[in-house]
Amino acid sequence: MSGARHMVRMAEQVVSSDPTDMLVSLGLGSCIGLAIVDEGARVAGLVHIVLPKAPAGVNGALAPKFADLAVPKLLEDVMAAGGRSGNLRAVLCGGAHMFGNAGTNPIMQIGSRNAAATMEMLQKLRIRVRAHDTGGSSGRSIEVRVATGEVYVRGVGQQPRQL
Amino acid sequence: MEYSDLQMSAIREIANVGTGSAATSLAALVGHSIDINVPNAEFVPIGELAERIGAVEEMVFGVFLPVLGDVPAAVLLVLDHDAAETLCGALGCSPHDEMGESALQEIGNILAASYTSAIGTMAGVAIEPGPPVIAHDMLGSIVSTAVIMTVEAADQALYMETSVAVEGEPCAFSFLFLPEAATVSRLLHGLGVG
Repeated sequence: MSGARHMVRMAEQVVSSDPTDMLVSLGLGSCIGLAIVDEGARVAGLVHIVLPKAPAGVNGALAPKFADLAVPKLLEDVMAAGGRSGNLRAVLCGGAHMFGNAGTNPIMQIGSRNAAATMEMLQKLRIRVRAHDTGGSSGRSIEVRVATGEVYVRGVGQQPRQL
Repeated sequence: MEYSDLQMSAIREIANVGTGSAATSLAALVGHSIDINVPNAEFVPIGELAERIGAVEEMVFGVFLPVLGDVPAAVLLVLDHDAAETLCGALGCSPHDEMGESALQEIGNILAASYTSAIGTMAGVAIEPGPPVIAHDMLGSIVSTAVIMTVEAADQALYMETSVAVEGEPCAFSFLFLPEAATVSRLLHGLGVG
């Protein structure tokens, strides 16, 4: 599985210490793409978060779906792959509000709730956020390069931008 | 997933009943004759929906409607650029102006009401669509957000590949029925696919 472009789909997580790997999530809408990288150790992980909070009794396999479980799990797995706690940096994007008028319906504001829940967990776990590109009303794709820890985000009809 | 003959006929019947009434309502809206066919209808795991429809980063129009009643659910129509142009063109507008957006939402309303009513009849449940909202964005962003907006979406959705001919001019779009997990067994059982 070396030198691969790993697609990280909804509720999936991929962690790699292979410098030839790229981790990619395409078409993030209200979901969050959260990368945690240690560029010196050439370790990176990407998780595709779907919802802010897990209902009671959710098991480990579903952890990447929910921000409150996904962030600690990604941290743990990046550390297990060789990431060093002082060197870890988080980059996140997504959390857009895709459809029409958000109004006050909480389910329509799921994008901003996802972003807020993810940031809250990062703070709680004391992971430094290098950059974030969240909110707005359009989709994004994210690409993480394990070799350099570089993270690129691309919006609709835009050139990739380094975060 | 493998389906029995009974299950396949239930899915086809939804398509037949739904498309029949949708064609009539749409023809009345656009003032042209409309033919609708569903060449493919199946239950698809939600994680695979976007890839089944097309390229995940392709720009598409998505019309989302909540479905209220006995079996809470949601409906998503996905139209590529050509389909949106054809349907809006029949109404004398463009998908990129405000009137075009209203037109696509109204078309979404008609199709959602027709299919939802067919599903309700087949499954023996009372359901109807709420007001539509629209987005123009990447296919993957639209489909994943629609799944999330279905509150507690089930693991699979009814995917109906739909082709429409407006006065002989063909276009195609995708219709997704996204049931909630808590009620999916009731729906599938009612449809004979549980």
